[in-house]
Amino acid sequence: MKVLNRVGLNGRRLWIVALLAAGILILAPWLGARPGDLRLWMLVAILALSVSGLNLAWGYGGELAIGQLAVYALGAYVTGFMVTQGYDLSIALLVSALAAAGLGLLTSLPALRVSGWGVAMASFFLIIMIPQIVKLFPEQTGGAVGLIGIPGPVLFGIELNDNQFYVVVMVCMVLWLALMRNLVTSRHGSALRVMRESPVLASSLGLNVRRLKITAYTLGAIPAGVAGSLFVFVDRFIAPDYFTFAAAILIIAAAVLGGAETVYGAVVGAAIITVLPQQFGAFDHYAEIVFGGFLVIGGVLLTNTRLKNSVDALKLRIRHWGTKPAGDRDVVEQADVPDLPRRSIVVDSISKSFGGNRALNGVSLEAKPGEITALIGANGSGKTTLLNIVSGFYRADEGEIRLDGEPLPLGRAAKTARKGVARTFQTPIVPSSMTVEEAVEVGRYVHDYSGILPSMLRLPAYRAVERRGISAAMTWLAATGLRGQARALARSLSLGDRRMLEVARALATGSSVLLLDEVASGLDPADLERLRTLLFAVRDAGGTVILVEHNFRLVCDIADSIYVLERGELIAHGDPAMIQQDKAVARSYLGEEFSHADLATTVSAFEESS
Amino acid sequence: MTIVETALLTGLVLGSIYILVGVGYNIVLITSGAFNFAQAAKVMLATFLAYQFGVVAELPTPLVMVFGALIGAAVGLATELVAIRPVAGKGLHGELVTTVGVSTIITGIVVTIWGTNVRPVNAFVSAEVITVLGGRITVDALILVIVAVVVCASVWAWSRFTLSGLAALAISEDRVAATLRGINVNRLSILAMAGAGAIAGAIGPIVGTQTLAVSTIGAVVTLKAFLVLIVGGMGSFPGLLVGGLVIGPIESLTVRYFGSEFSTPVLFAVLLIVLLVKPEGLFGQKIERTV
Amino acid sequence: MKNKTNSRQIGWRRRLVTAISFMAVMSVAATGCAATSASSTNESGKADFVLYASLGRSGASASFASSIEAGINAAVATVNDQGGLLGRPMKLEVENNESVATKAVSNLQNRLRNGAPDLVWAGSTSSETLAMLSLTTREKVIALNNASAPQIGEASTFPYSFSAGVGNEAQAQFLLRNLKEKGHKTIGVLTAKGAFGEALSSQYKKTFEGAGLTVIPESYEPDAVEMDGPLARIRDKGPDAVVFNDFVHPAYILASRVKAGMGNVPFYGDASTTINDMSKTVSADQKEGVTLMSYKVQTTAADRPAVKNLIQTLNKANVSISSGLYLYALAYDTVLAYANAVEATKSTDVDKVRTAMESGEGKKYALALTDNIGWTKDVHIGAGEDAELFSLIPVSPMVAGQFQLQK
Repeated sequence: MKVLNRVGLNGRRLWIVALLAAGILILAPWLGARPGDLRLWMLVAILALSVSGLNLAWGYGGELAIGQLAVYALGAYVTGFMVTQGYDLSIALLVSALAAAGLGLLTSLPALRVSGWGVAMASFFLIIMIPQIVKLFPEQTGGAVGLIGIPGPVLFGIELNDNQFYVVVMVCMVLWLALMRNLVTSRHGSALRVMRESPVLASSLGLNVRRLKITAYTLGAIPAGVAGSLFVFVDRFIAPDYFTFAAAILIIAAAVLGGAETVYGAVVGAAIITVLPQQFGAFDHYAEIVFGGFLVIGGVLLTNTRLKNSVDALKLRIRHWGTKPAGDRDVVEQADVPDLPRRSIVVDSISKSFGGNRALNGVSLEAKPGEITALIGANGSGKTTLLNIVSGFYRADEGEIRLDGEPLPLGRAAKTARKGVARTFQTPIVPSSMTVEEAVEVGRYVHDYSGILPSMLRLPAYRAVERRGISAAMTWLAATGLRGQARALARSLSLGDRRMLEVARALATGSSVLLLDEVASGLDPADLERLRTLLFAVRDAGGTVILVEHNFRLVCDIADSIYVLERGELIAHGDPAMIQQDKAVARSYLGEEFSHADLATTVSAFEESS
Repeated sequence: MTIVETALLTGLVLGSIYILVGVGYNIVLITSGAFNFAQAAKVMLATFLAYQFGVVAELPTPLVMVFGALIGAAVGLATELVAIRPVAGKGLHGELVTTVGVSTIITGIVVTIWGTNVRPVNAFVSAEVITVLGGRITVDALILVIVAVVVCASVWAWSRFTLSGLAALAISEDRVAATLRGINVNRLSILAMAGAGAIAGAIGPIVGTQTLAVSTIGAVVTLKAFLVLIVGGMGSFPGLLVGGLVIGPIESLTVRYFGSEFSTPVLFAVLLIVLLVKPEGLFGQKIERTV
Repeated sequence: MKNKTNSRQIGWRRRLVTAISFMAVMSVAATGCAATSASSTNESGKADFVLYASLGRSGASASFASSIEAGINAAVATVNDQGGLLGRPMKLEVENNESVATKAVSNLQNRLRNGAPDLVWAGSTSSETLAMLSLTTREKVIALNNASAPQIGEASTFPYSFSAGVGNEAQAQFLLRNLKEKGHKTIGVLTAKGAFGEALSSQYKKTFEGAGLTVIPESYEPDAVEMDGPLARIRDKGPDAVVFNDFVHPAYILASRVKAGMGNVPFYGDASTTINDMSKTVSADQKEGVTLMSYKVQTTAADRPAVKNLIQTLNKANVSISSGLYLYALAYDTVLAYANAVEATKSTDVDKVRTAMESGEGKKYALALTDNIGWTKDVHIGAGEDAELFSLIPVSPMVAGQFQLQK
């Protein structure tokens, strides 16, 4: 291993190994593979292409776009028709891919409104309508009987023999997998996972969920279209019988068995589904039962949580094999926060009702740059509602919110986020399959954007963005004390660390307005201290911090200005000293009998006892 | 003789079949959070049991139903233990593969034992055609509709008004919380799966009067019952009932007045409209966005 | 608590071990089964004549394919009884394609690795056949099959494919003659969607309309369990008679017929409705006024020597005849017609045999369905003499592949 390390191979360069394996696979016909094997591998590659597209949309994007087979059929029929008309494979392949992308785009439209099983059902319908659609074009598709008389593949005017065609299939698969790998390891992959995990988090980071969905469907359809196009030449015959519900289920099964949220898993899943059952015919009348048993056992074994966890751990180790580990969990005394543009938030008589409940009633406040503004109040006083309105998740019934004098687009979270308003959540939302570093870096998706094509092709523009992203992520991870865990899975963090991760992610967006929702709850004293240091640093860099908090002591300790809400109304405003003396606040917080006592001491005593 | 009612009645019968399969989907969905693709195959198996016990062994229908329920419960139990428990709720969608596997096994066994030919099923009460509201329907088909409504309503009542039913609903809301409150989640899932299997097994002789016993019926019923579930709202019994009684007639009326080639596109259009207007289904609960 | 986790872990491990061993056993068994087809010589010293048959022993066409397989087997036994093909013993290799077209092609390609078989039976459904034909054509192997899609019969596309499936036109002509005899003018045609039903529907429309009849075509979903809608649509147009087609569900059509109040309209089932016994799934009132078109081989009236030989051979092989005798005869005849051509030309050269098959040469083996399958230079799908092939029967119970007609 060390030797390999010394020649420059490490976890980040493991793709070289994959590429080498791909090279061997491509050259297999000249390395002694037999025609029957080649055909089988072609079938694996073709299935893997469809599965890989599904992985992109479903495994990463979380969209149950299981209509891959319809796209596959479209690719097949487009190519089938074109080559019988004498077109070159190159053109047919291109047109099939475009047609597939078009169908992907089309199927994404209902998905913009619906998700989950609704999308799955709509996709299923696309599949059962294939025979009917085929029948509409009997001349071009051969109708119910099938398209016969498909000539052999001709690429750039050269008639391909079986071996050469095999190479074309393998090259298509390898190229796509390389592009897919580049895409999902880039921030686009993180963005898809964020969307899958939580559309709310996605919008709060400024991600355009609609666009992401459309992208996932469209891109995911392309390999399926290519797969269909290539399949035409495998049997030189296509018929509606090939595109049945059972075939659609096989694509899903391959995705699940290989691991839906993977790149190379598509090949593994496709191989499992293609190669093993190839032998089942020998079970004669029992073949179907054996195949069913195989699905049950495979499903149970390969979607086992333990297996998944150990595979995840192994993948992390492989990824980081031979690369330098970051330093130990270092305590940052003075977080290094770059200067932030100074922006102020003015909340102007906001009212909001849910049903008949008035959650906010004409609340006005101002948060200034270079200050920490705290918002306190009992449960149900409307703090979080106000935060949700400022961050664009809710519309207001009345009033407006101005950022530097300009009204914010209420009810449009992503747009608000893109204007430079970042937030954290009461319950931290941490995408389960991402590392800490990725989870923070994705905050920069919108603010330091690199396109899909540059990411897939790893163009210099992408590399620059990536470098900036890593350094920014490391800066904020250091500031939040998470640097030592940068490579761990985000889901393995403690609650306190998750909160810090959210703060780091919010800061990574580069926003100067920071909305923190109950960020201190669950933090241990060391974390609290770090948070305090960090918030002071942000404040001193010119940031506008709005803190929604239960922890009265912390608020009094760090806030420059405190607003107190009670049942949707603002009952007090002032600096910590003023608030601690305020009778109304004491009553609201502690009830009538404590109203004369010193609020700060009572609260502290109460918090310590509980 | 009015014709509309015949097509309408035909549709109600179809819808009733979807409802009876959908009840099984919903029970499993509520207690295990998994979509059980094998439910329709179980009903298909039940029609063959109705053939075997009723036609071949000439047992009286109530006994056939009891045997069907017992075997159905056993199959349900096996499905839960082998294919759902180990994979459900882990977010890796294993049940999409395993329940399809179970469905394949059941179909394979049926084909091995009984072949792919259609087998007869005894009349439940009478196969005579009668005129109801001007439409023509067999007595058995009418009973099937009533049975579907009664089964769906009873299971709904179970989930609303009995302790175990409420516990099941609690599980569907939050598995972990339900466990913490002392609900034996595993035992309830087992009972639910056995119950769903028993229902599927018991209705074999009734469904069989309409479908006869045929191995290919599983696939199409799986899809259409699933469609009814989506339209009505996943996990909702009133939704299932209304969905089935609406989707069935839409299907049959389309075939009747526009021709069979339009039935799939029209159902697709209905699905899209429902999803666009009310994405959570007619009776589905909207999951509030949690911020 | 700790105990519980422990036992769960053990349970998990045990399951894993069981599952892995099960998978291992499965793959070993599979390889073992697959490896049983190798030897190519026999005691007589002459090389075996290998007939490779790809059939769906499992999956959608399982029960259908088993009859085909038995028929092929009977033909092979008959040839071997006569000393083999040109003195070479015929050897049948059956491979299960699980009713999946791509698998059929994969299997065949793997088989080709050990040298091409002498003769291929290409699948049990049209799409299996069509998928395999591009390979067999390239390999220049004669591919027998039972498909009925007209495209398969086109000799210009598939010169080495021969199907004994009776051409749709022969069926249409037979029905037409009988419809005209009864004086029916307006004919409802009810067929299943899909390759098979649609091809027949368009053939019926062409033939009937060509003879001046009016045709009301309707179709139904192949997996429907009632045909209320399509039948009501036909009824609206006032048909004199209805021709229906169905492999699996004639019972549904006849049940819907009663519901639609069409008991007084004569219904004619085409040849597909007599492949299986529907008598047990339809009631007395549903049978009323229904006439089915059967191959003569399936009516007890058929007492051709070849039919007797077929039944005897099947009995000898302990085959329980589960579907109409036609399916067995179809496969039996096709293989024997090939054998006749080989014996006539004293050669297995594909082009010579092809020509001989086209002209129906060779009479060594008598055929069950018809004396001449009716292949021509351009059409390799059976046309036969319809008077010899078909008869009309009421819905009757079937015993051992033959209908028991009431006198």
